[in-house]
Amino acid sequence: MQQITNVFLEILVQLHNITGSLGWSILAFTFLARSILLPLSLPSLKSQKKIKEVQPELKKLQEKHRGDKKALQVAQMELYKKYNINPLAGCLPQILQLGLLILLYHVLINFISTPEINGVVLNPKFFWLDLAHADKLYVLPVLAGITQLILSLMIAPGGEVRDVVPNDSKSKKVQVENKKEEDMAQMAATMQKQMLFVMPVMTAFLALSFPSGLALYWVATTVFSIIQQYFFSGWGGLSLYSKRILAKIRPTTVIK
Amino acid sequence: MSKKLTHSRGLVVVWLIHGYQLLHPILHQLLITILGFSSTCRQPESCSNYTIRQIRNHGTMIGLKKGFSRILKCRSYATNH
Repeated sequence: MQQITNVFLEILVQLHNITGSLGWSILAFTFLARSILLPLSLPSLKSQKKIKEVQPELKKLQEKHRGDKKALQVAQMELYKKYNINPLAGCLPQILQLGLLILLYHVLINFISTPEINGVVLNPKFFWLDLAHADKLYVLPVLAGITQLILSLMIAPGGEVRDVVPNDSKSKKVQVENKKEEDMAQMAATMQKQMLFVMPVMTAFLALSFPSGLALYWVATTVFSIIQQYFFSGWGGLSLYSKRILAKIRPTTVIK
Repeated sequence: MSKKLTHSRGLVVVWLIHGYQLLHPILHQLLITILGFSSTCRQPESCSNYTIRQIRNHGTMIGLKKGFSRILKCRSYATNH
């Protein structure tokens, strides 16, 4: 762990030597890290896009295999196979991702809070910011919140309910169990909808207490995610939500 | 058929899994924000729900074993869960 941290720190120090500032080195590091991760993100984004495209066919399958969970599962997997969709990267990569997240946090906190690394004196000044301390003007926390909201809206179109098996079994006990499952899916969908707004607020508050160097990284990486998402699926849910808001402001506007 | 849990160990594990299910959207969004991607499960029944069902049916240890085994087996187009 310490060795990997040192490698990342060395990269950051080299970037600092080139750019002459902690802020620019963090921005360059963000761009570099996200560019390296791009080949891993692209298959996931492609799968998400394809899954959206086959939603009408999935609905038909649900109708066809009412009450037969196993048959629905097999048919769904066949459909994914037919369209070359690989949605089942599974939970294991998430554990690796989480490890990477913790590592990044560790590296950046070390880099920002240490005034001198390997004999190199770090320059924490970046525009009005002292990157080792929180942003007193609240610009970065507000930016972090806004960019997070934009990204959240882009990736969560309408807060869909996760696919559930139609609850029309003859057995009352099975019906009760299915109902529980539907309730859980409904709760997850509600949670997802709430997350749209909870996450940006949470991000802004976290950015308030973090050293602004970390907040800068957060804003930069979110902007990268927004651009990446835009090139793959356009504005996504953002256009849907903006239309809804416009319709509320101007009720006569016809939503197409 | 799922049974009602009476064993306190089983109940604790099930509530821990429910806790994970509630926190999972935060992790998912965090990963997309910071790393640009996060894998999503598209099985009709997620591994966490499957594990809960197995714990109710077969007890805590066997249920957990079956749940972990399903997670480890999870790969493209796998249907034999």
